[in-house]
Amino acid sequence: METFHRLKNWLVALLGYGRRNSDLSEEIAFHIEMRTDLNIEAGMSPKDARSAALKEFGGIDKIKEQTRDSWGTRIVVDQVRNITFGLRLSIRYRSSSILAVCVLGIGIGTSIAMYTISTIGLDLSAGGNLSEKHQLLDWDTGTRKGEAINTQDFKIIREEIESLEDLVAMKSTSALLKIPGKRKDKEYYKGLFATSNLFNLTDTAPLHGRLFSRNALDVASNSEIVISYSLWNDFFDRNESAIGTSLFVNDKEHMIVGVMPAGFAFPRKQKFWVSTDWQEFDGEIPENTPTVVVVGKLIQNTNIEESLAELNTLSTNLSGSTAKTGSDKLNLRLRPHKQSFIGDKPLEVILIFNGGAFLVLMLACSNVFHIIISRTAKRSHELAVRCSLGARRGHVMWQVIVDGLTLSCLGAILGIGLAAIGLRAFSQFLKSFDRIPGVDTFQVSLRLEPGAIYVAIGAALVAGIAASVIPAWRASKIDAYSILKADFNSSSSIFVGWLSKGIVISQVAFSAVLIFLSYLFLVFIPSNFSKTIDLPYNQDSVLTAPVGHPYKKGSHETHEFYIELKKKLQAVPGVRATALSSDGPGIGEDYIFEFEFQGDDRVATDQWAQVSSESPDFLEVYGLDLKSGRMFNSLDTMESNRVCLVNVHFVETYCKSGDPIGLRLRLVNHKNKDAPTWFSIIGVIPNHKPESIRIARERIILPYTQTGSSGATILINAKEAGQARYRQAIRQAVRELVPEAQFPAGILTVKESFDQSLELIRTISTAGKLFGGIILFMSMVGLYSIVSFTTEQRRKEFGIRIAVGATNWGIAKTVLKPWILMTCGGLIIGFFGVMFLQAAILAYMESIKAPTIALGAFENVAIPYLLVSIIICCSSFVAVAVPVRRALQIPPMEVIRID
Amino acid sequence: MKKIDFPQGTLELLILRVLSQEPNHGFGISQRIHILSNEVLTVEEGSMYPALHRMAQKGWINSEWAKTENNRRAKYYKLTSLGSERLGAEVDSWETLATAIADVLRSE
Repeated sequence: METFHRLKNWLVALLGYGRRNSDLSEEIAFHIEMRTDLNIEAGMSPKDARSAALKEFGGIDKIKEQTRDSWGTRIVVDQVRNITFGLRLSIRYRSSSILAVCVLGIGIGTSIAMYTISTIGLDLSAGGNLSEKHQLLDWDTGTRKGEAINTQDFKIIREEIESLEDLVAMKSTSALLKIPGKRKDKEYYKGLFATSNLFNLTDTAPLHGRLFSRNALDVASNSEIVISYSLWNDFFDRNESAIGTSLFVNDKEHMIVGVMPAGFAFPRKQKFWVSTDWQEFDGEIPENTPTVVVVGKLIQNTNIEESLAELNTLSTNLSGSTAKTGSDKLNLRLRPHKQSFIGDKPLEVILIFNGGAFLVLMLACSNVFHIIISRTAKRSHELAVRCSLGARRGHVMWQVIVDGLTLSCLGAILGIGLAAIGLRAFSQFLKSFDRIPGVDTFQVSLRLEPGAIYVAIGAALVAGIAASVIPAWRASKIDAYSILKADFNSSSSIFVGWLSKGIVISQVAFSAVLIFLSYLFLVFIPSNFSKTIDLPYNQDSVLTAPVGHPYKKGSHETHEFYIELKKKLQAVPGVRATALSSDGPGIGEDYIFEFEFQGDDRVATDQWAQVSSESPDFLEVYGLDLKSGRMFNSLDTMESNRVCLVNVHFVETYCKSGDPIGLRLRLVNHKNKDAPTWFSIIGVIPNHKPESIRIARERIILPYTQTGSSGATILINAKEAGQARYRQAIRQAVRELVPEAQFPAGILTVKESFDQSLELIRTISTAGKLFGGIILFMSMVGLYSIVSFTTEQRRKEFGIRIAVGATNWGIAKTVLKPWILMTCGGLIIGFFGVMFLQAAILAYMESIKAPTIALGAFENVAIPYLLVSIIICCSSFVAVAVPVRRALQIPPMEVIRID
Repeated sequence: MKKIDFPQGTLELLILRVLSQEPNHGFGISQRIHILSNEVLTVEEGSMYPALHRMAQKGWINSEWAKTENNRRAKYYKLTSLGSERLGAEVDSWETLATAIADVLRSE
């Protein structure tokens, strides 16, 4: 009870602090008056009576303080005072405040934007328990993005399929929820319509009630709803009587049968789950039928191939198939559901994003550190006065930390704003991509989640404290006596020492490394990846169809297959050329082999090339001609001498001495050195494949008739090869020859294939450009702020020097000389940092067997570092010149007079 | 009459006792303690207000502004039910302590 009173009175005291304060003054004034009256009655003069009353009462201010202490509000009031003080300081040092807030705003904004992007990347199945057996079922459209199955087809598949069990259909929704007789919420909640066996995918028991009931026909009763813990809390205050009551979803009534435990949000961020079997669409035409995500479990002792074969038989009877709709959907396909949830690459992307965010935040902290140390130096006189008046060491430290926290809070507000704007822009940017692994860019809405706000607050606290704790510590150790005694040179003498110089040097070094990194992001990496696009033929006119498992044949079968296939495909109107290749057109392949020329006795040749096998007509598909020598022909078989072609890059790199035709080479097999499969070079082809840092430009091409094929890519050339009819023609022709053949990577034009391969690279490179730009800007601001503020501190000194006859150049030299020394020191240390970075990159490239061209780009860091040094020197010159010029323009007497 | 110092921790007990008779303002309470103690106890006037506000914060007393006999505005404090309970407990505790101290002093 007493605790309740205390809390109530504390709140009243806090909210009515001002009124209570004036009440206390009035109360004490009344007391003094009463005592004065009594003293007058006792015979004192009014003046003496009042004096005596005041004396008897004691120190009024002290008693007021003691009384206020009893309210228990001191801690809050002190913090409000601190904030007001911090804001006053920010206004007093406007320019440095604006700089610090901008730097922190960018740092915090970048951090939370990257955190938000990472969170979406990690937006995995909440509560799901998907096994490797669970397969996602959809229509193969020839691209990676499949097309969902409609509910009518789902029911047919569910009835007839034998290789899959427990088929679940799901459709995500956002709906308005309403409870009869209670409030109507205006918020939309994310939910899921699903078949009644949905929870078999999750293995999660309800917290209260039960999961969906299932009747004999496995048809949902169409009225049951299970709600999340948060909905149960919001709508029913966690009352168990919620079970059995009605809940309207978009004005349709459902009965609550269960509540799921906290944290359960399967599959993404769902808050309710409605059992349905979509009976209302049973008689509808397919176009009006909703599409659903279908997941099934492979039955025991069945593999994907068997299941696919069964699905293919089934698919012709479905309303969504090509036969019925004329659309580009011929087959149903299966993909592991778990993989479709997470994707392969998001974790790498997330690591890059979060590492970058941390770096930017640290850079912001470092810049703000300099700003705060400079501001504190300017305040040393004030701090000395405080110390001499009895301020405790902790109090002085807190005063400086409050300054840092005020700046970081303002920075956090700006950062949240910048992040919100940035995320909106990034959302728009993402929509220009087809797909990023793990993220459905069409459905993702990047906006600030509460978690990001907490990150912003955390980042602001970390930044504020990290940036101000050392200045605060230095401030608490000031020698108040000497500062007050010799005000003239005290303001800077406290802080100009090994710490400031060390910080300046380390900042320059840090900036040098980061600017070098930004150079990689801004210039090197994008340009190396973008080389891949520049090809000597029309990428829209070549269609590629990698035929995957189960097509695995020897060279003879491959040849017969191709002959038949070629006949069929060339009969299709519009097809100008066809070919067969072991290699796709994109940049994702990685068949790099070490090779040696005949007569070369080196143990390790360090000669690498990408190897593929092709049919003799493959150059026709690209519309290219042989550069020299001859093409493969029908005489190049397993029984004849082995031959090969090389590309122009190969000749330029490895055959500088002369004509390569007639040279013999073999692929190095370190395990079996006695296998002498020598290939004679019979011709040189143009460079027809893309380049990237991960793939060798040098190529060796073998005739497919002399190699055992482990798969093949069918290539056709046609005008506007992306038309659906060409894709269908390839599928049909292949199926007629090999009924069980699959197209796991889809049938794509070269351009489509590049776009898919480059999605991730483009995303990283775009993020890198953005990030590099931010780093560059922050480093510049950091350098400017250090020089600017340290120079500002010496204005009085400059004034005196000018007053006693120093020239402007003489003044400038006193600043430039130490600064040049510090900048050079920083650049030297930075160079070592860059060397370390280079060694790390080279080690990585080595580990991925990157080709010489890529290594070469990283081997020479001198020119890029020279560029970085010039940038730093220029910016530091501007940073020195601007404040020095400003200081020199002020009349000496005015400068001297400034306190 | 000789004035003696206030025993530690008894100010709140005396304030509660005074207010149990009638509501009063800070000055009145200090005067009343002085009179009731036959002018032996004199409250250090400044210390009255932190004590009153502390007790109000705990909910033992509450306050309201009212006019005095000579038409001045003063803040009157009065005992709450929580304060009454507290007074009973404090009185019991004090009596036990006083008896114990007296017993020790009277012992031979």
